[in-house]
Amino acid sequence: MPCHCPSCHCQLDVKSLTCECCKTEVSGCYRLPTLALLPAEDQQFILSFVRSSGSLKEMSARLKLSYPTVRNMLNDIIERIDSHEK
Amino acid sequence: MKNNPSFVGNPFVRIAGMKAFCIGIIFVTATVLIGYMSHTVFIGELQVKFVRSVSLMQAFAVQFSALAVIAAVMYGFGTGLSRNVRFIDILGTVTLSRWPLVLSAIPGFFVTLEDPDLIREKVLSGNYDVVSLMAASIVIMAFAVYATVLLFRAYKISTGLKGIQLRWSFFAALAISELLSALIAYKMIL
Repeated sequence: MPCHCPSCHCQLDVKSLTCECCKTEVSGCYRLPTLALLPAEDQQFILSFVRSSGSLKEMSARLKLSYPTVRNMLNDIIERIDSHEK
Repeated sequence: MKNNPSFVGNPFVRIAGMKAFCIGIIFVTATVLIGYMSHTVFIGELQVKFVRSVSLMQAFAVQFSALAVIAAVMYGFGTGLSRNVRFIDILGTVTLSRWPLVLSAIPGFFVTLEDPDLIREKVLSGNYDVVSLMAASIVIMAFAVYATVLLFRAYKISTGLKGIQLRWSFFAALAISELLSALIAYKMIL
């Protein structure tokens, strides 16, 4: 999903949402949540992290990576989240 | 963090902590044993010496003290500059990074250890096999450099440091640990 304007690189906002069942359309100007601004890989990592109950040890076993590698991946995501929230 | 995992290039993406330590200690022990038989002693990370008389206990003591010093110094730098650094990760990856030194211990079998004055005489008279000594030195140096590259990757993964902070702290930690290892080793051997 595109998150930044291809022309000026500013953050894109959501203008309308549509219901597939009754075709109701809700229009406005909604900011994308921080999680949606992250790359797909990071979102997948966060989902896996939650499914592992926040255990980096379990994550490293699931991803077949070493513990410090998984911890560094998490630190990188934290940095990206912090930069989006600034 | 993008890392290309492979046992040769960067095994620490997949292996760290106690697992890396257990695998690494096997290689370190093999290095000491082969080095003892080939009269090769490894001091710190970068120094390799051909020593005629060193006991097995001394060889083990020098190697394990070097390992302890490097791990302790790197842990010190790591905790000072980064968060969530675990000692077992640093110890494990640093130990495993020494695996190429087992290959550095082998050329010592092909080098004849003689009195330095005798070597000088033979070199001047053209009777000394300089080629095998130089070949052994090149092989040893190549594996020592490779072990140092692995050590850098071990430090990078274990501490999570990046950029200029990673580089200067690694070189500072390496310099300090080399100095300390040399002091300890020379006290033990001499």
